[in-house]
Amino acid sequence: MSNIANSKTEYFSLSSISGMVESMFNEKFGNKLFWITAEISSLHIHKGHCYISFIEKTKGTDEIKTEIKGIIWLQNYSRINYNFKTITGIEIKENTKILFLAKVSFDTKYGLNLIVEEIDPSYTIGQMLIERENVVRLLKEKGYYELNKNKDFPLVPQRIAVISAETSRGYEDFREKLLTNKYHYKFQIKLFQSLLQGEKAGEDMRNRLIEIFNEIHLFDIVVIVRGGGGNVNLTCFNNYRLAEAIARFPIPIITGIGHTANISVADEVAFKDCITPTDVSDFIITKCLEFDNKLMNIFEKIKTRFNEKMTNQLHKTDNQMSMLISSTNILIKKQLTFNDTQFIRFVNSANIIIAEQNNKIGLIVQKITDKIPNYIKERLSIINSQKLIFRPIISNFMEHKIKLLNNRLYALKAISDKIFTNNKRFTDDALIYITLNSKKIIEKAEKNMILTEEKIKILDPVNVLKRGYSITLKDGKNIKSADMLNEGDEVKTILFNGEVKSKII
Amino acid sequence: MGNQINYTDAQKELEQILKEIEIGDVDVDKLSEKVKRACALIRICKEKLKNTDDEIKKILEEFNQENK
Repeated sequence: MSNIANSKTEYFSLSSISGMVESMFNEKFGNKLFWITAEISSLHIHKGHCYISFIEKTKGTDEIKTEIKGIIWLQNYSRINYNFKTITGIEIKENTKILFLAKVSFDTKYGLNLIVEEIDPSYTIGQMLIERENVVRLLKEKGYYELNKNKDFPLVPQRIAVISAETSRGYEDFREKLLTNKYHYKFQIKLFQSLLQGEKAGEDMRNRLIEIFNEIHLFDIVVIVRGGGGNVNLTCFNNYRLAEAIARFPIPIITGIGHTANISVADEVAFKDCITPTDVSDFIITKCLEFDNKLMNIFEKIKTRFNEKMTNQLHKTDNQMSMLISSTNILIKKQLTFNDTQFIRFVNSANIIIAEQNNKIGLIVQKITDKIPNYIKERLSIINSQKLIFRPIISNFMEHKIKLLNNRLYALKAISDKIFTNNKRFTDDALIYITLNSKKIIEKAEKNMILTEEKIKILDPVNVLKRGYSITLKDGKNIKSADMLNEGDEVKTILFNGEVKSKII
Repeated sequence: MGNQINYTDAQKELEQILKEIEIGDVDVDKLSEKVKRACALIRICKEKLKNTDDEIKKILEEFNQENK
């Protein structure tokens, strides 16, 4: 090498130099294969061949330390690419860290190139995971990680901002399922169109979130949905800036971006990861249904309690009513008994009054009855005292008269009794009646007495004697026939004036 | 957010009413008032929740029939 450097006069063609380099490369590397790790900084396909720029950055500073070009020839590219895509879910693209098997080749025309024979996708997966973990770690360090998860989910998520693409199958599915829900819940959906895959998708979605944030009062939740197509580049959902925006968003965000193996950071920090767009719809409908059921549950409970209370109240009222009725009955009974007692008392008093009246009547009757015989007796005694001797003669007559009087008296008494008994209630009237009648009867009796007296007077033997007749008595008996006398009998002859005792000869 | 506050408030009020009815010794007049209020709240929520108010009509009819 020093030879070349020192001989300044000697000229070399470019090709001879490159040829020398080529021979050195062939000598050093030959067809040797190396497993190399590098990041793809740029990539382009030309005529089916894949031209890549590999770089290596200084750790921490991101400064490019080394850059080497590489090629995947057409005959390898489709196989390698297919394999890589299948396993990692992403295309071979910029910013991807790969582990690849390559020949180090120097071509006189194309210079230094790494001829890629194979790519190991698992390394890329690992690198992606590391990157993803870094994003998560950073979110946790900053305290954003749990923010959206801890948001209160609205009772009824009816106003929905959707980040998706109108042409996206996922958006179509989400919308269809939500709007045709069998419970007829109504929803307002506003679509915010965004890229959903590729390098720029993360930033685009973040910008949509900012737009939604500007009219946040119009929405209950944000939904991010995409769908259709299998293994596409979803690394945008691991984008730190998007993940941070989701995590810090003031209302819950639900994702349905259809991941397969590993969930994205966006899914992880969102309020809820539903995987598929239709699951997002189901989730939202279920939330509405939960609230609806809660309402119905409360309604049923209130209804049950209300009915119970009303029934109780009815029973209470019934009880009160029956109590009232029974107390009323008792009262009425008491009142009735009272009335009965009063009545009895009244009747008793009435009876007493009647009895009193009766007694009075009795007394009067007694007086009357007393008086009548007294009168008669008086009269009789007068007669007797005056005309005692004629008694035997008139006694029969008198007795008869007395009997008559007595009978009348009894009849009177009976009538009075009858009247009194029959007319207890009209005692006063009866009394007056009786009194009046008694007077009449007594008067009549008196009249009769006088008549009798006069008759007696007419019959009075004194009057006969006055006329010169005499009465002859033997042993007190008047002699009406001479046969009644025997010789030697002593007789008494009563004259108008004096008596004569004589002896039958 | 207005909508949401109403749902939350409605639910809170409903739960409060339920609590009062379940625990409290609410007299019948007040009870009726509370139940009416609860029905109104449920009706508002149901109307907001659904496209049709048939359901609400049904609820109210049902309630009215059962408690006549």
